[in-house]
Amino acid sequence: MNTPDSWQLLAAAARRAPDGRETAAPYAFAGRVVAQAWAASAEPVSFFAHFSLRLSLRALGAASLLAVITAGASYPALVKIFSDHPMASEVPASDLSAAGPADSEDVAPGIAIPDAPAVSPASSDDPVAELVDIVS
Amino acid sequence: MFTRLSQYQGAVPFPHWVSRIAVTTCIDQLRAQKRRPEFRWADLSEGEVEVLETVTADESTAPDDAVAARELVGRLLGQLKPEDRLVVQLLDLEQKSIAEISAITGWNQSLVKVRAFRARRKLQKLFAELKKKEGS
Repeated sequence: MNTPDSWQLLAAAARRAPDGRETAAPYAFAGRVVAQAWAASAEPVSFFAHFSLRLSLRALGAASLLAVITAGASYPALVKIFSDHPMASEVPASDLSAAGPADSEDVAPGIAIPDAPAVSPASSDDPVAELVDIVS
Repeated sequence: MFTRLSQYQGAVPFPHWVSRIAVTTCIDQLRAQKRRPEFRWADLSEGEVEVLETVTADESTAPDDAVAARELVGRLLGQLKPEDRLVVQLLDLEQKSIAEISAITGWNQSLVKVRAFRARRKLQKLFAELKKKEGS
C-alpha cells in the first residue's frame, strides 16, 4: 500500500469540505486595535518631565495667589500714594473755566493742570499753536 | 503587532512581516499546549472510520464524506509538531507552493521541504499503525 497516496486522497477529500473556520473579527476587535495603536503612538513621558510639569503648575497657582493677596493688602497704601501725589490735587473750577469750555472737556477730572499760560487771542483759534505754547 | 510596529524595517513586504508574527504567535501557542491528544481508533466517529477505511483500503478512491475527511485530517495533524503541521496544512490543504510557504513563514525553502518530508513520513507511520490496528 502506498501510504502517502492515502494521505493525498484524504487531503483531497478534506479540501472539498466547506471551511468552517471563523473568519470574522471578534466583537469590539476594531476598538481594541485602535486603542492599542493610540497607546503605542503615545510618547512616553519621563518621570522628570512629569514631575516638572506638576511642579510648574503648582508654582503658577501659588504665584497667582500671592499676587492677589499682595495686591489686596497694599491696596489702601496705593490709594493713599496716588491721592497724595501733587498731580492729583483738584483743579479749581475757576481755572478750568478760564481755560475755556474746550479745554475743560479735554481734561479728565482729578488731574491737575499747571498754571495755564496766557492765551493770546491769535493762538486760541489754532489748537496746534495752543498746544505748543502749553508745552513750552 | 502594534507594540512591535517600530521594529519593522521594510526588509520584507508588510503582509509577510505580519504573517510571520502570526505564525510565530500561533506556533508558540501550540507549543505551550505541549500535550497532544492521543490518536485512538475508538475516538473516531463512524464517518471518520469509513473515510479512513476507504483511503487505506483503496488508494484510488477518494472518500465521499468531505466533512468527516476534514475532521480526520485535523486529528492526524494534531499528532504533528506545530511547525510540521503548519507546513502540511499550507502545502496539502491550502495548496500553496514551497515559495509561498517560505514567504509566509520566513523559513527558507529547504527547511520547508524538510519539514514537509518529515510530516508526511510521520503521517505515513500513523496510517501504517491504523492499518495494523484495523487488521487486528
